[in-house]
Amino acid sequence: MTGSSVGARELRGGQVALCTVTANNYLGRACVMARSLVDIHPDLVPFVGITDKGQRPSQLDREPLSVISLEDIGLALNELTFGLRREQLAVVAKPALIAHLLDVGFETVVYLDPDMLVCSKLDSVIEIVSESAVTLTPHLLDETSLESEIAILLSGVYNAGFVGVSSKGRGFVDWWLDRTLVNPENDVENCVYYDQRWLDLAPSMFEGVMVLRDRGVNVAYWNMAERELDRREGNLVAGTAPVKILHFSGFDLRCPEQASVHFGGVSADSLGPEAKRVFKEYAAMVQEVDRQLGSTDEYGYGVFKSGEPIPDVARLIYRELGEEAARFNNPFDDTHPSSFANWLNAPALIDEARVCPAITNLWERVYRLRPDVQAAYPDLTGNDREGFVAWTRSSGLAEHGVGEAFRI
Amino acid sequence: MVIAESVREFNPDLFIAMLVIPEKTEHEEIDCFGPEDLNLPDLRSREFAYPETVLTYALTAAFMRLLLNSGYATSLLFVKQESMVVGDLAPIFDELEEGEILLTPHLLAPLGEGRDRELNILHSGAYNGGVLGVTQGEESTRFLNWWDARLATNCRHKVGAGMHFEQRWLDLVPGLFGSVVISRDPGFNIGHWCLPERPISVEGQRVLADASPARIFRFSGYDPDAPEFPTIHSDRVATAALGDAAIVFERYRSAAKLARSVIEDTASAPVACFTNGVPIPDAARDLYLEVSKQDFGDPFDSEGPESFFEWLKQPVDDGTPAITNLWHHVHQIRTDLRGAFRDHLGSDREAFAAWIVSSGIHEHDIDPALA
Repeated sequence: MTGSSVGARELRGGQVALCTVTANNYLGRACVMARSLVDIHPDLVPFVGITDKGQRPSQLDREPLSVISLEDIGLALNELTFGLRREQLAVVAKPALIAHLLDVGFETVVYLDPDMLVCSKLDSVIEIVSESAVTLTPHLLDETSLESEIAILLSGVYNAGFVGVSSKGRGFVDWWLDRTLVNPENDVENCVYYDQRWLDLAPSMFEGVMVLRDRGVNVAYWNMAERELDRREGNLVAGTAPVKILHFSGFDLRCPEQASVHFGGVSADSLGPEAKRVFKEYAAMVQEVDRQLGSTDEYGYGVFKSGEPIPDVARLIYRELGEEAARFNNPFDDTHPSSFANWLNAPALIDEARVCPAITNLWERVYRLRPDVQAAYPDLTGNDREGFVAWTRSSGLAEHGVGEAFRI
Repeated sequence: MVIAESVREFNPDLFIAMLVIPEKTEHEEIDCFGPEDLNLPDLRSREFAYPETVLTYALTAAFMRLLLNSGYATSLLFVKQESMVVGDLAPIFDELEEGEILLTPHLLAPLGEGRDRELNILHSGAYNGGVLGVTQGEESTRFLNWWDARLATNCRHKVGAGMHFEQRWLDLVPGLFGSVVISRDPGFNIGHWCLPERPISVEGQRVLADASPARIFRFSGYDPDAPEFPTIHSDRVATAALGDAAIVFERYRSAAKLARSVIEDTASAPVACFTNGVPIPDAARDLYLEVSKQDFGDPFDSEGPESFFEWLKQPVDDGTPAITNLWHHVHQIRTDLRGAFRDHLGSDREAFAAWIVSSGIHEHDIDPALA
């Protein structure tokens, strides 16, 4: 099995495609997921959409997966690769990859997050996905604490780590991609949580949406308290249900005693002894594959041509410029005078005083992002100029992940 | 009244039950219930915490549970105030028979360019709390118990915190409970949120929604005295631009006016007070929900050192001038105050205390006894 693009081989293998999306940092996890899947379903070699660039590890060719590039799914566009942060690009690539696989002829597509692990046969799940237009898994299948339920109401009833779509659900995928593209952000107060909250509307707005209430699918820290992991005759169960898919969302390999870094940290201990063992084993598996791959946390779209890291706010500004951004040609190239990076360092329009030091386009946008900073320095281009500039140097650079190249 | 009469017109055999607050009034054709019939141990707390209309929302689950548990009905359709039945309801009961819980969504199709309106629905909830069915069974029992427990202290309008009165909780229902039917029939629940996309046509007494027979129209936020817009919640579309739906709105307006002329206009609810006659400020209701785990006994009761009334007046810390629990809470809930008096218990203490006297007591209608 090799890391080739979509070909006849996969299509002959059946009309079902499994897929995931990852940047290089989660490539090891994606390989672990692929291995776990192929161990159980040798015919279901997953497609892995890689939302990153740079040299791919040669070991990847020996992994049981087919690589799909951003070019394959039409997303290799500056407005996306530069305009979005790493996690945002992956979120947008998800519906795009599902659409692509449906369009090349698969009738049933199951998307799994790269940090999932397949533990037993998925036949019943695939059957449901193929019979429905869209299949979603709720985070919660049991009443739990008020706090957990509110957290789920804010982030989305259905977990976007598992999404099944058949050809009947093609319209849903277009809508989901369209809605997600506008603002793939963590902005729960305004009802946006990357791509996830939109799913709350799917069972109403589309025909044939299946709410899959299988306690063995998408077992994760947010529902393990209600379905404790255990072994029965050697097989993993969640409550009484055989575990089919585990989800290690927010799991940091460096601290396997923590099940998730989300919600201020969830200890693996609190989820029971079997869960603790599972988290530890998963960490070891991923670490081993990461070692084989020579994985790195570096993001290919994370730096300018010069190597200077791209601050998040620069991506936001670029996206907000819309069509105007085209005048910069390649925004990653910061080595020429009319580059986007240079424009970020140019005085902002509001700063007409031409007093030194000028408030630059980048820092003017940061200022607008921060009501607290506005309150502290209300007269940005007058009395508070010095104070604000001092703040950018003492706090702003670090708080916004801005490098020295953009120092005022 | 309008609902009951419109039900009679299409389904003369259905039992009609109504929960009336603050207390039940008898009616010859409707089975009336009052809050005391619900046997809620925390009824006084809810009456204290919620203004009148919100209290009706907060008692919805308990009322439905009472009707099922008491054997009044085995199959039940809840229809919220401000609604009118415009067709035979039997098909809704038929669909309800497929499960134990029937939900009616706001939107049945994507809105194309209407992304922002979809976001509004995400704010307020995918399913409308105005039409909801249950039949007797394990799942519906679990659902009503859970929903009522949530509504006891969290029937609140805090959209940034995931709450929109009783309604957003329904979003969790298809996950938490089995036997849930999400009805996609365009005629079951029609309101301003799905107009004008869902085309309405009126042929005599027959009303169609997207070519299907219409059953229930909802008029949430519709003011019969200001009929130009279908809802006060939005000026997105004028009633006149709704096509035949405008005819249905006009029918409702006439029916509502007629009903109002028949029922003796009950005086608007008296301002709720503590037992010592001090009016209960909204900020105190809100704060009561925040500290609902503490036991104050009857929250209306102002007597005794353990009363909620006394607690509101207690200083939040040892500093001077004293800042009470009530004013501390007002500071917490107002972004502008948090900006103006960042350190309201420290360096901004005097200024915040001065604001309370000069502006706060007026802006929040706080009686001197609580100031």
